[in-house]
Amino acid sequence: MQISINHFSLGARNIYDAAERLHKETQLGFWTGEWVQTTACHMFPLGKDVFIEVEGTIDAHAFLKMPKPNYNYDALDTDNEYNGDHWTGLMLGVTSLADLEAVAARLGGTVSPDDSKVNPYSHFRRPDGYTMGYQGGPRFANGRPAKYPRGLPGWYYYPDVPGRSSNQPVVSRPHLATPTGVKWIEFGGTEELLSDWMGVPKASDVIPVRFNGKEVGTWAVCVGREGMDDVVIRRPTAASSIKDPSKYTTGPG
Amino acid sequence: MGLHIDHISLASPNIFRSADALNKETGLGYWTGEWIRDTAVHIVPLGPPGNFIEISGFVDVHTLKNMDEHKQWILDITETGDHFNGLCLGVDSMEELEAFAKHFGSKVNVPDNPDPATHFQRANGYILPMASTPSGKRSVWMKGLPNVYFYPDRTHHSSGQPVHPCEGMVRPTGIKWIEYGGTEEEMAKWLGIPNPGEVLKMKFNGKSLGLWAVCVGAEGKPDVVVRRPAASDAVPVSKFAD
Amino acid sequence: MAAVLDHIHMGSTNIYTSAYNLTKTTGIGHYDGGFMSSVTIGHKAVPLGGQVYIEIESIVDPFAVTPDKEPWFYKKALKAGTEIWSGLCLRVDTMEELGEIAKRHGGTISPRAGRRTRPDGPGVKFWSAPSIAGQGSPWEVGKPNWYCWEDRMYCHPSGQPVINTPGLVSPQGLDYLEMGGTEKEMEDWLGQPPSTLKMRFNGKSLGLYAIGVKTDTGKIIEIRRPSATQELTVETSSR
Repeated sequence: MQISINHFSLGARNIYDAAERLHKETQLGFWTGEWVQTTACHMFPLGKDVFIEVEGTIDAHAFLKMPKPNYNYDALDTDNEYNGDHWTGLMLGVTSLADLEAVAARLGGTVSPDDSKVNPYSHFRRPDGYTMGYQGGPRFANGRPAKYPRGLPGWYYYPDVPGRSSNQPVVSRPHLATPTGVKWIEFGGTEELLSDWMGVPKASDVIPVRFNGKEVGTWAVCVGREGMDDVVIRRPTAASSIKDPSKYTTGPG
Repeated sequence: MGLHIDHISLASPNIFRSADALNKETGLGYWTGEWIRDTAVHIVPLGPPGNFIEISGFVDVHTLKNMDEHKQWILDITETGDHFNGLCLGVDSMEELEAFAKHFGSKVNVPDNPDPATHFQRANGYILPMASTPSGKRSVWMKGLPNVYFYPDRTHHSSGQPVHPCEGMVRPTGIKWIEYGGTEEEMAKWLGIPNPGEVLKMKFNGKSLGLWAVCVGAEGKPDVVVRRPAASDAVPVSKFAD
Repeated sequence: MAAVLDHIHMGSTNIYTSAYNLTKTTGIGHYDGGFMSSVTIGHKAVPLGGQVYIEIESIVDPFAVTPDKEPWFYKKALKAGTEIWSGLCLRVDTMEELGEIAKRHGGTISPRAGRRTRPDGPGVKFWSAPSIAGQGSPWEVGKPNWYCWEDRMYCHPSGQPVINTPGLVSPQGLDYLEMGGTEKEMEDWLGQPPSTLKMRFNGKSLGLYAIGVKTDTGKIIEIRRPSATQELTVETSSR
């Protein structure tokens, strides 16, 4: 089975402000306009088919009606030097639906349906009408198993490679850096835990990951830049700002 | 151009959904990426000589922890959906803007703050300089009244930036008319000009103050009428009487 | 009201390579401006900041143009083996102002509007002056002309986004224009002090020789090309 880094989620209180700061910090470019229901993303291609989605809630009324406590909101509400930005996800990719289903089955879950054509507004969409058709998992019907804490990577299968968020043109602006791919990831927890989740003998043999033993989740991403030094994007992981994880339902994944 | 319509503000509970819905309804395209503080706008160009609709809404729900009168107003007028909450007129010089400021008994809000966070910013890094009047703690929009703008540099005006290639796009050819609440006499008194109906292509429906509809020409297609309730329909202007 | 600089015309034999190389060597971005009314001339725009831009034009449909109909700037660029600065265009805000300028020069406003079609479709219309019967464009003799846009500053080419290219700088307007001739000659033609247009003079044959573009890096980028009246061959042309 071929496993790769698919994308990273960077949760932000304000995706516009966060994207502008991330650009100034890294000189990486981004594009705008993708959304699903109450969430929108600004996308930062990182090279080699990987991207960061700077993600946030953009519907105040929907937020007010959301069940509380809300895990991501509470994490982002914790102040830090990045105006509350937190890494909220590392997502892995596989190259076939069969592989995705095998991963989900191994972990005791299922995969999301491919209903992008019949329920387009349940999927990420772009202003030109492009609807992201992908499937993800694992989804746990009875909540997440305790041995697999929140913060471990989600799994995805994206059939349309040219349409990937990583392959869309960024907004033109001066002094943009050209990203050349992810060099390494700093992840919380241990190699044993991530390797078990990934179903591989050693996770760091499959993706360029190192471990800091802190709360599970992404802590830093190192990105290569053409003709420039590598840039390290460091943010706390969401779990590190959650005081009492037991308050939150673990949901489907 | 003299006094003219510059742009229209459409307050939305979810600017992505509203822009998509407006596109499906009218074929009008839009572009994304402009924002100021906790609010972002999707811009719907309406054609020459340079008008647009800004679909605006909160994009930072954490701002709701620190409520003020204006934020509450936005929440209240968007609770039941999109509402037109601003008619923005334009002039071609700072002198003309200052004349309006004097007429309003106010000052010009000049774009001289070096902090980019106090201006509209775009995804390409462009900071939009614009001056406006009247200036004050409470926006006149909350009373259903238009304000006036001057752009020192019109080359980057929002109406002229390219839109995303949206489905079923039509090409807008300009505003044909707008429908406003109240009467022409009330508007004439507010603006200090005798014939706002003719100058600003305004029709008056006698309803609560504010914009109720805008008609836009569409190349090769019937005119498009975008009809939404005025903000005063959701929150009466009497709430903000001095 | 004094006219302001609107755009600078760069005559080329291939707008694609000219625009690409200009961006590569200067870091100043460009975008596709569409095609002119004759449909045989293509257009690339290079925003320079300060409400000014370069328009690069060349024939893009050579089979539709007989040699006697080739634009003069195309023939000159071909002979020089490089792009040339073929025109300087000022802008006024009203047709009344344009009419006064035309009258002052013993001519009229152009009898027909100029047109350009943008890649996304909308047409752009403008009028120019002076148009003098029996005479070619002032550009051919190295003199600026004047424009009035139908839609004034709506979608002005200097404010449109450029295509994304590595190494772009942000142009911040012109620092200078290096012109042939003398200041007195130019003031007589313009009817306003050339200093209002940041012109300096080298005493050579009339026309534009170089522009200095301010950038956000603090550096001023000079773009030098032969002028419209400079006698050149491929061997003697210089940048």
